[in-house]
Amino acid sequence: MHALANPGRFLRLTAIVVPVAFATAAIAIATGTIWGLFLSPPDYLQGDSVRIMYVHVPSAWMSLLAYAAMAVASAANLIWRHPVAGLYARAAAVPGLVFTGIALLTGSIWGKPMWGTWWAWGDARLTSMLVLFFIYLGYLALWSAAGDVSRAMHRAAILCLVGAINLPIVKFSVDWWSTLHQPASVFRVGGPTIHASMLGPLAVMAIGFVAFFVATSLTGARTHIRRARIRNLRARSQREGTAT
Amino acid sequence: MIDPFPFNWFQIVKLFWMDGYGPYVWTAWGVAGAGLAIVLAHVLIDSERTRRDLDRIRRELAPNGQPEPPPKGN
Repeated sequence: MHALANPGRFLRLTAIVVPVAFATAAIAIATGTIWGLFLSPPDYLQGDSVRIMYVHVPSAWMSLLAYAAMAVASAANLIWRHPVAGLYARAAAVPGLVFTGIALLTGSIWGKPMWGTWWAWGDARLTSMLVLFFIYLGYLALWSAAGDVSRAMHRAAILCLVGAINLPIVKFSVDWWSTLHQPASVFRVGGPTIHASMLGPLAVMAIGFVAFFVATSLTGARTHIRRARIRNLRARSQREGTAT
Repeated sequence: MIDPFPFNWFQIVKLFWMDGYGPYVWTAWGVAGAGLAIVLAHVLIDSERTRRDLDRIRRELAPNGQPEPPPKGN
């Protein structure tokens, strides 16, 4: 992590990683789409509506993974004062927010035919995911509101770490409170309960979404580093202009 | 004689209708696709615009109009 704190090294390394991640995402998502929509079998209870799972579940996983990545980067920013870590956290928030939005919307669309309702306020998983969505929005709003970048980075990092308390609540909400949402069926003690014919496309889509997140968050971080360079160049030019 | 209907259209409609779950499935996948497309467009457009801005500012600040080469990977 300390090696990546150097912006030049970060840009050199990510120049290699980003195209590989984009290519992996394109191949995995294309494969997962064909497999999930046309080749995998319908569920014996849920019928073809189970095909929503192949976008809903990876999006929900990514919403948590993106936030966890932001929390680690924010902690690194606060502890070791690595600005690149703070900029990476900011870049990861955009795909994280969209993944959370996708998970909420696709879950609602899946809920209507299966539960008979678009939304249930009493369901802990749904409500905690909505809270996560608002935390993402608050994090991005804080970045935009604080004019100075270093101040914005510091305040947003603190908000991100405070908001991380919601991650275990989202993950274990289905175990702690028995409500509409089904318990975990993949990442659970005792192994997955889902059939291999459905686990395959789900895993491929998850790989695609992880690669997409890596590619977009690193591209965003590269943009923020360049933006910081623009600010530095402008400041230097103004200083030199004032001195002469 | 060439068959003007080489496909069994009923089978194709059935495939997309999915026993009535089709509208839900396609809407959900459409939402996901649109979300990913928005993120992709946002990061790529933002990246390209910032890269051009950086190049332009480097050119403007260079003494002879020729900026020093950017660090590798940038």
